[in-house]
Amino acid sequence: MKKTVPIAYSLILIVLLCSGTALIKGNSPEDLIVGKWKEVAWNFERISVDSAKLDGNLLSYQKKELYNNMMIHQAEEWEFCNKKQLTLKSKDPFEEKKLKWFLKGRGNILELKYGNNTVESYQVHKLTKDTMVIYYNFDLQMRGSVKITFKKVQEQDYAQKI
Amino acid sequence: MLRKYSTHRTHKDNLKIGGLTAFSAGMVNVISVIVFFAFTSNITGHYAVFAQELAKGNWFQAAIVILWIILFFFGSFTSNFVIIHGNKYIGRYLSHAIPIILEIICLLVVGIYLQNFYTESLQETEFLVGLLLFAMGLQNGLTASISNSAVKTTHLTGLTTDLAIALSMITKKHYRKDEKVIEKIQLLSSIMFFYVIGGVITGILYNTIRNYTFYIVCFVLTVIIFYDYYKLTVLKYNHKKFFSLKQEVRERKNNIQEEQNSNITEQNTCY
Repeated sequence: MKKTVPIAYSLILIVLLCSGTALIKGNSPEDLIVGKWKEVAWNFERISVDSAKLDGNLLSYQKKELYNNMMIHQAEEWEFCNKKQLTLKSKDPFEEKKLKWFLKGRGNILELKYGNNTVESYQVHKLTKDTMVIYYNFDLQMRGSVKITFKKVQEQDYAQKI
Repeated sequence: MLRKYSTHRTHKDNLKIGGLTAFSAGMVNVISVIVFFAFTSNITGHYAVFAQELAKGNWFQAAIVILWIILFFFGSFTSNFVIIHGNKYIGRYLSHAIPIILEIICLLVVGIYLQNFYTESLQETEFLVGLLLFAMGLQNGLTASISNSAVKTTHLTGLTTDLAIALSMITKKHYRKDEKVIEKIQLLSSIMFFYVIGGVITGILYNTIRNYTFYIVCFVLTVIIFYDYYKLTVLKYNHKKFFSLKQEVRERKNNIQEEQNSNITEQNTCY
C-alpha cells in the first residue's frame, strides 16, 4: 500500500517524459506534409468499386453527391507550402489552383479552404515521409468513401542533379 | 447547488448542477468538434485513438493524445485538490466555486484566442483542445467530487449504462416505489437531455455567432456560481433581516405585555 503513491506519481512522470521526448524527436504532421505530392491511386472504398468501373457501378445519386462535394478531384500534383498554401497542378500546365490548407484535430484532418470560403475536409489516414493516404471526409465518425494515395516527389538538390 | 457536499446534497441540488453543467459540456463538445475536429468532453475515444496511433507507430500523435488525456486528468485532479484542501482555508463555497472559475477562465482564453489570434496552425489547435479538455476535467472532477460521484456530466457512456440499469430495475414492481431509483432516473435523464440540448443549441448558434458561443457557455457557468452566491448572501441577509424583525416584534410584544402586567400590579397595589 505504501508503495502505491510513489508508483502512481512516477508513472505519471514517466508518461509525461516519454510524451515530451516523442514531441521533441517525432515529426509533426504539419512538417511532414510540406512538399510536393503526386497522386498514385484512387479507390472508392465504401462503395467497393474501383475507379475504372466507376461509371458502371455507382448509383447516380452517389456520383452526384461525390462530384458535387469534391472540387479537387482532377489535380495530379499537390504542393503543400509552409505558409499554408496548397497548389494543385493538373496535366494541363496552365491549369493551377491555389488554396489554403490546415491540419486539424491531432493532425488527422486535412482542411482545404477555397477563396469563396468553401471548406473541404479529408481524413489523413497515413502520413509518412514518402506516403500520404487521405480519405474524403463525409462524416467525422465515418471513414469516407474516397481514398487517395500520394507519393512524395523527391526534390533533388543541386549536388544530386550534377 | 455548489456549497453542499456529498450526502448533504439533496436531489434538487444534483438536478440543478447536473442540468447546467451537462448543458455547458454539451456546448463545449460540439464547438470543439466544429472548430478543431476533436472531442473535448469525453476521453474514452482518445484512449482508443492513443492505442491506434501507437500501433501505427505515430509517436508524435500518440504523445499529443496522451497529453490531452493527462490534461483532462489534471483538470479533475485540480478540482478535487482544491475542494479537499481549500475547504479548511477558504470555505466550502469558494473551494467549490474555484474549479468553475478556472473553467470559465480556460473557456474565455479559448474564445478570445479564437476570435483574435487563431491562425489555424496545428500547434494552436492541439494547445486549445488541451485547454478545453483541462476545463472539462475540472468540471467533471467538481461535479463528481461534491456529489459523491452521483453527477458526472461531461460524458455519457457510464450515464447511459446507469440509466439502462435503473430503467430495467423498474420493470420489477418493488423498485417502482423506490424513491432512490426514481430519483436516479430523473437525474440521469435530465443530464442526458441537457447535454444533447446544449449540443443542438451550439450547432445552431455557431453558424451565426461563431466563437461568441464560448461566452454563452461562460454565462451558464457564471449562473452556477452566482446562484449559490445569491443563496448564501442575499437570502441569508434577508433571512437575518426577517429574523431580527421577528425578534424585534417579539421583544416589543414582551415589553407591551410587561407594561400591561406592571400596570395591573400597580392597580392591584393601589387597591
